[in-house]
Amino acid sequence: MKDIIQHSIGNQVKFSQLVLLDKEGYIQQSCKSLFDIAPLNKKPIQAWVPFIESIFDSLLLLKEDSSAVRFAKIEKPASFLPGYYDFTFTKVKMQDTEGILWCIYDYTDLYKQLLAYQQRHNELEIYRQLYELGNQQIKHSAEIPSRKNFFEHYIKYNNHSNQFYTKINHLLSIHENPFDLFSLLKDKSLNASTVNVQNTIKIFSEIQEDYYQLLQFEIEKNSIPSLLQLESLCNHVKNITEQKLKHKIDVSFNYAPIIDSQIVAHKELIIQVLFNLFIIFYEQSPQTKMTVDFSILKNEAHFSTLNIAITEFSLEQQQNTIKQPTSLLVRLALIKKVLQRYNSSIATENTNNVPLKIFANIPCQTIE
Amino acid sequence: MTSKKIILSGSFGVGKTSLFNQFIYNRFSDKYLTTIGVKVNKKNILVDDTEIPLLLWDIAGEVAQDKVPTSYFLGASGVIYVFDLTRPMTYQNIQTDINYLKDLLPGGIIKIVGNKVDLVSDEQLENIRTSLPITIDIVTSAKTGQNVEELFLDLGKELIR
Ligand SMILES: Nc1nc2c(ncn2[C@@H]2O[C@H](COP(=O)(O)OP(=O)(O)OP(=O)(O)O)[C@@H](O)[C@H]2O)c(=O)[nH]1
Ligand SMILES: [Mg+2]
Repeated sequence: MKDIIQHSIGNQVKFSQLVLLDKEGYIQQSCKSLFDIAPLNKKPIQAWVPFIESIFDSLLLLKEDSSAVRFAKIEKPASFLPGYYDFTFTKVKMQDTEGILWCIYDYTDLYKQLLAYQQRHNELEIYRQLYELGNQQIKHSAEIPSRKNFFEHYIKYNNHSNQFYTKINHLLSIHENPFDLFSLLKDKSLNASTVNVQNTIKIFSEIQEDYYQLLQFEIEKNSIPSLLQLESLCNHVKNITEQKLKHKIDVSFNYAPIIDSQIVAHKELIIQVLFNLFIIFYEQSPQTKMTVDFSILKNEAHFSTLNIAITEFSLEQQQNTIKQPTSLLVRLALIKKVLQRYNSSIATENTNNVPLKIFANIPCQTIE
Repeated sequence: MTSKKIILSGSFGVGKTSLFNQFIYNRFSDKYLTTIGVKVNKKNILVDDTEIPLLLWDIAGEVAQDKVPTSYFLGASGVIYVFDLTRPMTYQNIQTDINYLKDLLPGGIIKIVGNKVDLVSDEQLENIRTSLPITIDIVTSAKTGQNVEELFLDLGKELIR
C-alpha cells in the first residue's frame, strides 16, 4: 500500500482519500481522511456506493497500469460522501492478484460555486429560448415568460454572476493547487473558462438589447405625451421601474429653477436614462435614498445623481490586478452605446472611490 | 440478474432529474435545480417475473451529446435520450445526437423520450412528430407521471430480450 500511495503521490496531483479494493470490491486498505472504512467492511463497496456498482464490472476489465479512468462531479455518491467529488480508478497489482485503486478528490466547495453559476446560466438560456419562441409566435411552448418575469430573471442573473466572479476569485486565491483548479475550469463541461465568461457578457448584451425593445414597448403602451412636464415624466418612470422591480425606490428630484417650463426632448432617451439610473441604484447601492438632479444647460437636459455608492467599483480599484467585468460597467457601456446614436452622453465620475456620480446629457428645447 | 447501467441524457432543463425522481421516489417539483455532474441511484423493476436492478445515471444536460464526458458511458447498457417537447432547441440536433450515441454504444439500447407532454396539445405533438427525422419512442410527463413507469418497463423488456 505504501508503494501505491507513493506512486500515486508521484503521478497524481492531489487526492482526498485513497482506497484499495480487491476484485470483489472489499476494501483492502485506505488512508482515512474523508470517511472511516471500518463500518464498511461487512459488504463490498458496491453495496454502499451505487455509482461503483454501476461500473464495477467494467473496472475489472481495465488493463493494468493503463491510465486512470476519471469521473468528474459526482454528487452525493454515498451517505458517507455527502458532497461533490471526482473519482479516478486504476487497475493495480496486489501480491499475486489484482485490485482497483479508487482515488477520491473532494471538490465540494468548488462544485457548489460552479453549480450556482450553471443554475443561473441554464435558467437564463431556457428563458431566452422560450422568450424567442414567444417572439416568433411558434405555438410549441406552453410557458412563454411574461415580460415581467423576463425582467426579474435578468436582474437575478446579473446579481448572481457578480457573486460568482467574486467567489471564483476567492477560490482561486485560496486553492492549494491552482494548477489543478485551472485544469478543472478549462473542462469543457464547466461554463467558467475565459471564453465562457466572455460569452456570458455577450449574453448580457443581447439581453440588454431585448430589454430595450421591451422598454420601447412599454413606452408606446403608456403613450406619454410628447410635451410634458419633467416631474410627471420622472414619476412615471419611477412607477414603471418600481412595478418591474417589485420594489419601492426612494427618489427625490431636485430641479434647477429654470425647469418651470416644459421641455421637449427625446422622451425615450430620458426614460432610458432614468430607468437605468434607478436600476443601477437598486442593484448596486447599499443606500435607500437616491437624489436625482436636473438642470437645463443651453440646449441640454442634464441629469446627475450623487447617491450611488458603488461598492463593486471600489472593490475593483483595490484589486486592480483582477479586472473582472462588472454588471454595472456592462450596463453603462450599453446605455452609452444607445445614447450615442442620439448625440447624447452618459458618463461617470468617481471621486476617491465613493460616491460615484453618474450624469447624462440629452439634447432638448424648453417651451415657455 | 446483474444490474444494468442506464444513462439519462439530453439537453439541460428537459426533465431528466424530474423523470429520475418521479420513477425512483414518486415525487415531482416545479422548481428547477440543475444537475452539475452525475447522480446515481438504483431501483429494481419486475419484467415478466424477472427482477432487473437498474442503476440510473442522471447527468448534467449538454446541448450536444459529444460534450458529455465519454467516461460516463463506460459499461452502460442503454441511454434514455430526453428532449423537451416545448423547446425546439432541445431536439434540433436529435439526429446527430442519436448517431453519436449509437456509435458510442454499439448494441446498446437508446430510448428517445419527448418529455413535458402535459404542456402540449395533441395537435402540437403531432406537428413535432412529423417534423422530426426520427421516431419518438415514448412521450412522458414527469409532472403527472404519465408514461414514466411504462418508459422503464419498456426498457426492461428490451434489456432481457
Ligand atoms: N410541466 C412539466 N414540467 C416539467 C416536466 N419535467 C420537468 N419539468 C420541469 O422542468 C424543469 C427542469 O427539470 P429537470 O428535471 O431539473 O431538468 P434536467 O434535464 O435534469 O436539467 P439539467 O440537470 O440542468 O440537465 C423543472 O422546473 C421541472 O419542474 C414535465 O413533465 N412537465
Ligand atoms: Mg438534472
